[in-house]
Amino acid sequence: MDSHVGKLFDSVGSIFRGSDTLPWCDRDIIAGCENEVAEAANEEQKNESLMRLSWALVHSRQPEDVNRGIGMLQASLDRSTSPLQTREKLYLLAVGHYRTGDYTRSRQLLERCLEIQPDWRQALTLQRLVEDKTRRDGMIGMAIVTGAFGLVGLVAGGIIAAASSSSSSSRKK
Amino acid sequence: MRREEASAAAAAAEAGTPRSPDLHDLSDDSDYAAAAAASSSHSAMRSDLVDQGSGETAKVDVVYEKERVTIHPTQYGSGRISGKLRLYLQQGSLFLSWEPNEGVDSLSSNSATMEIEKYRNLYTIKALPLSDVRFIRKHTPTFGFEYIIIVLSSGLAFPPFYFYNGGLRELFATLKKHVFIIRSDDDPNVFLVNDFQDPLQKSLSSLELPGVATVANAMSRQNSLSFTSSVDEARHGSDAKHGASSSMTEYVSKQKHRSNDPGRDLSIQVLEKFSLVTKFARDTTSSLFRENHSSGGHTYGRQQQEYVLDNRANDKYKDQQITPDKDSLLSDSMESNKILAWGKPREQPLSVDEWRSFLDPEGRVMDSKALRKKVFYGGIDHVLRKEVWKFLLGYHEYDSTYAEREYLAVMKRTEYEAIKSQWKSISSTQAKRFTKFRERKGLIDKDVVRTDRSVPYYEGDDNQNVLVLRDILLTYSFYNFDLGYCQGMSDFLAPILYVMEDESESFWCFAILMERLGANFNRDQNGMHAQLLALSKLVELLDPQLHNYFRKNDCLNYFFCFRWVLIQFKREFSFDQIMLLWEVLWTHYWSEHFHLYLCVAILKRYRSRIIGEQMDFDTLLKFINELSGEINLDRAIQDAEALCDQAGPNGAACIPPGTPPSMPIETDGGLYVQEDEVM
Repeated sequence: MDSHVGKLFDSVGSIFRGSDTLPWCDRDIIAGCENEVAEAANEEQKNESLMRLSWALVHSRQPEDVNRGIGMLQASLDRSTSPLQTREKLYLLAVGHYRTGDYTRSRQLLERCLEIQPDWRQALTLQRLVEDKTRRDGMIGMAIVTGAFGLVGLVAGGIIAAASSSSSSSRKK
Repeated sequence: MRREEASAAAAAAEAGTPRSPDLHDLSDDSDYAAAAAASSSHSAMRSDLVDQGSGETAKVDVVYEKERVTIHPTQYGSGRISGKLRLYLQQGSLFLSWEPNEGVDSLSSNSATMEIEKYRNLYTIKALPLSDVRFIRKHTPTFGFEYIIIVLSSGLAFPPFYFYNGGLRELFATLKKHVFIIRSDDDPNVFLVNDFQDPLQKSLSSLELPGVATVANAMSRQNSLSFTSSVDEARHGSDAKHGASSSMTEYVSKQKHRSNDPGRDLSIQVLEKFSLVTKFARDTTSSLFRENHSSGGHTYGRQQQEYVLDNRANDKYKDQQITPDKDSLLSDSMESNKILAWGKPREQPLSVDEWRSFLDPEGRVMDSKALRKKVFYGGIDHVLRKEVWKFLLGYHEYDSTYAEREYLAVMKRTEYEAIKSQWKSISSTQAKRFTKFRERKGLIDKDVVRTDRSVPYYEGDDNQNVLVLRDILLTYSFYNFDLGYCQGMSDFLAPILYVMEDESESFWCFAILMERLGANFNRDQNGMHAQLLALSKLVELLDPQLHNYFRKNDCLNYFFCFRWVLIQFKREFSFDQIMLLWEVLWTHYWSEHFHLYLCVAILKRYRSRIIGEQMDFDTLLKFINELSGEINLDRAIQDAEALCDQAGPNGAACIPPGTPPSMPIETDGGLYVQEDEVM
C-alpha cells in the first residue's frame, strides 16, 4: 500500500506540476494585512484593508486561505458601491476558484467580469489561464478514467476519449 | 465518551500540558449536557461553575464546548495554536468564543514564541454574537482534517478552525437548535446564519452562474467515492457522463443567447467535467500523503509527524526559492542585453506642429491614446506643457472644445477665489483660537522657503512666486481640510506652478493630482504600504534572485524606496528631468503604476553592486539616497518599459486594487481618516 501510494503520488504529481503565472502570497503578507484590519481606525479604512486581505488570501499557497478569501468576497459582494468594485471582487473570486481547481465557476465569474469591462486584460489573461488549465486537467482526467498512465497512454487515451465524447454529444443533438 | 476523555487527558499529560481539574470538570459537564438533554439541575450547576470560573455576573449557559480546535497562522507545525471553542447563551442570545490554550504546544525559539503570542492575541475570540455571522463554510475532505471558516457580515473571515478531535457534527447540531441556519442552495458546504431574506442567495444568484449547482453536487458526490475501487470508478464514469448531459442541456438553452462558438465551448464543458476527475485525484493523493504521515501513534506522536510534514513542505518551499536563483544567474547577461534591446529609443518632445495635428478645428483631442503614446516616448516641448499637462492630469477633458475650456477657466478661478477667501478672512485674533490653521500655516511657511530654491523661478528673498506657492498650499489645506498639508506636497506643487504660471490653474491641477496621490500622505500610511507591497511582488516576479537577496537581508519592507515612491523621484532628478518624468508617468500609457516599474528598473540596474557589496538595510538605504542625481533617466524609462512589457498582465495582477495612483476605491464615508475627535 505504501509503495503503491508513493508511486501514485510521484506519477500523478509529475503530471500535475505546471507553470502558474499568477502571483503567490505567503503568510507574512497575509499577517500584515490581518494587522491592518485589526488596526483600522474607521469604516472606510477597514473596508480598504479587508479588500487587500481578500486579495492576499485568494493568492495564497494554502487552500484553506483561498477558501477563506472566497468566503470574505462572497459576503461583501452585495455591498459593492460601484461596478468597478464589483468587477474587482468578481476577478478575485475567479482567482480563488481557479486556485481551488473549480474552473467552471472561475470561468463563469470571469464572464461576469468581462460583461462589466470587456477589455480588461487581467480578466482576459486569467480566462486564458483557466481555459488552458481546463484543457490540460480535462485531458488528464480522461486518461485517468480510461485507466491509462504514462505519456503514450495519456495522449492516446485523451484522443480516443475526446473523440468518443464528441461523437456521443453529436449523436445526442 | 468518558473513556475518550480519559484517553485525551492521558495524552495531554504525555504531551506535557497540565490540565486544571476545574476545567476538566467543566468540560465533562458540558459534554454530558451536549450528549443528552440537560436537566434544569445540571444547567444550574453548570452556570454556577462558569460564574465561579469567569467571575461574570450575568448568567452564562454553555451549550457546546470542544478542545483542540486549532488554527494555523504560520506554515510551520510549531506555529499551530490549539484552543477551546465554545457556544454559550447569555441574555437570550447565542455567543461564540475561542480561546487559545495557555503556553505554547511545543518548544520554540524566543522570536517564534513572541510571534506566536502575537497571533494568539490577534485571533482570540472573546464573545462573538452569532447575529454577526453571515455564514459558515464547512470543509470535510475524504482524508485529512475537517475545518470551518466563519464569515462575518462585515466581510471579515476568521482563519480556518481545525477540529482535530472531531465534534463538527455536534457543533452544527447545536447551532441548529439555537439559531436559524440553512444550507446554501448554491454550495452544500455553506451554511447561512440568520439569513431570513436570503441576501446571500440573491447575491450568488445575481451572478447568474449556470450549472454551478450541478457542479457542486457532482463534486460533493465524488467526495464520497473511493478512488481505488473499480466498481466506484465505473459509477464515477457514469456520473461524469450524466453531469455532462445535464450541463449540456443547460448550456444549449444559454447558447442561443450568447452566440458563442458551439464546438469550442462544448469542448470546454466536457473538459471541465474531466478536470474534476483530475482535481479529485490530486486532492486524494495529497491527502493520502498527509494521512500516511499522520496515521498511527498517540497524540504526541501525531504532532511530531505533523511537524515533520510541515518541515518537509518548508524544504520544498526552499527548493522553489533556490531554482530561480540558478536560472537568474545563467541568464543574467542575456537578460541584461534583452532589456537594452527591448526598450524603444526615446524620441523628440511633442512639438507645436504635432500638437496642432492632434486637435480638431474646435479644439478637441481626436486621439488621446496616440497623444499619450507620443508624450510617453518623447515628453513635451516646454512651451506646450502649460496646455498639455491640463489634459494629462484630467483638468481638461480630451473631448472639450476651446470655448468650453475658456468657460471652465473663468468658473474655476471664481471657485478658487472663494476657497482662498476662507483663510484670507481669518483675522489674527481668530487665528489665536484656530490651532490647526496656525499649525498648517507654520508647516507650509517652513516648507515653501526650502522647496526648489535653486530654480531661478523660486530663488532669492521676497520671491513673489514663493508667496503664490504658499497661498495655493494653504488654500488646498482648506479645500481638503481632512487631509490638510503634509511635507512633500510642496514638492509636487512647485513644478506645476512653474509650468502653469497661474495661481488658480495651478491649484486645480494640483488638487486633481492629489486625488490620486493624496493617499501617499495618509497618516496611517496605507497608500504607501500598498505601493511598497506591490513593489515587493513586482521584484519577486521580475528578479527572483534580487528578491531572495532582500529577503535574506531583512529588506523586504522596501522602505529604502520610500522616498522614490512618496514624491515620485522628485529628489532624485533635476527640475527639468522631473517635469519630463512626471508627464511620462501621467500618460498612464503602459500602466497607472509605471513608477513602480521604474523602481524595479533602477534596482535591477544596480543589482550587481547591491548584491556584490552585500549591502545590509542601512548601507542599502544610504546607497539609494546617494543615487540622487546619478540615475540616467532616459535609460531608466526604457528599462522600465521593457520590464512592464515583460511582466504584462502578471505585473498588473501583482498590484492590489486601489493602490495609488489609481483612483481610491469608492466608499460611503469620507475620503480621509479622522485622527482627532470631532468634538
